[in-house]
Amino acid sequence: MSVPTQSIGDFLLEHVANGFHWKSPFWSFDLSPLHFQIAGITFNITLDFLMIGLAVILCLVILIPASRRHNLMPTSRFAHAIEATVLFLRDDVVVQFMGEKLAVRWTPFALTLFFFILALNLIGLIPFLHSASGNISVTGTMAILIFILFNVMGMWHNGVMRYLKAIAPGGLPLPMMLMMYPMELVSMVSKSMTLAIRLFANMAAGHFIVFSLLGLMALMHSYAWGLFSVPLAVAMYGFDIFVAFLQAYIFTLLSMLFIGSAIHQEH
Amino acid sequence: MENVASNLGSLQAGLAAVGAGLSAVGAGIGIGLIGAAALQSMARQPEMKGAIQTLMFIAAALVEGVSLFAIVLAIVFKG
Repeated sequence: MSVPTQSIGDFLLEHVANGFHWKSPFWSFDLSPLHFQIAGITFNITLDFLMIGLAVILCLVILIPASRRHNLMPTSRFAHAIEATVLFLRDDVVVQFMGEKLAVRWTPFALTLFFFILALNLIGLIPFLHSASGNISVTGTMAILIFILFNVMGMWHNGVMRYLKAIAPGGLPLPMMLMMYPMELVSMVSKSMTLAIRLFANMAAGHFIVFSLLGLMALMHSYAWGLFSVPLAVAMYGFDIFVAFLQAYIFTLLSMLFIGSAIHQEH
Repeated sequence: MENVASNLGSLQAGLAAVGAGLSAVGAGIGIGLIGAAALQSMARQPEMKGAIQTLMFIAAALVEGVSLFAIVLAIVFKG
């Protein structure tokens, strides 16, 4: 491996960045001829586009048959795992933040979010595939969706004026209110932003660490470093699998928390 | 003069790395405190484990968010 012109930081960033080339030691596809137009806007098919499509197909292929089989008791080990995840998300996340009544309506959304992000994260860990959730545009889009969703849902359930008024805590004197209101608006935007940055940074950082550890061998021009870096990289890879589950869970948890607290506003 | 400029560039990158490290220190202290407090309260009241775990994750995620902001700023300003 040669790193002639780029700095190592740029090389690292390029490793997780979106692009038109799908490269591996065995193949190299140029994706740039693939594009389509809808209403005059050109959509390019990039690497992340492919990976998101793969995640969607995986979710559909695995989860729809799992939900079709109406056994009272899950029989296989896999069905047990899915059912435990679904029950955990419903009882510990959705019901807790939405309340019993709204939970029926919001559980499918929370489950979709969780399994989609989980699929994206885990696809990124398969060698030669690419991590779409390590791209800030992908996670940013999801965070903007959550931002719009909790504002619209707050207005839907509380009425527009009452929602906007209750953004800042009530019963404050006017000068205090003038100070608090912009701060609450900023915190509203920034908590959606951290939602995007958290997922992106965690997934990208996992790849960076594995890549840098293995890159030590190239950097030091010696395979002896492999004795040190390969076991560490394997350990970090195991940790990344845990992080993939944890970040999918945290994204779902926090979006449900934001939506729930916009619906059940404190007055 | 070019020498000075290139030195300033590497200084900036080094400072960005120091900033990223400092943010890691802050997040480490914060998440460590949260984990310690959650373990203590779980040991005292094991029946509250589920609720405490959820609150622990929320608090840890918020702390992490602040330090991730710092790390993104470090990436942006690394020059």
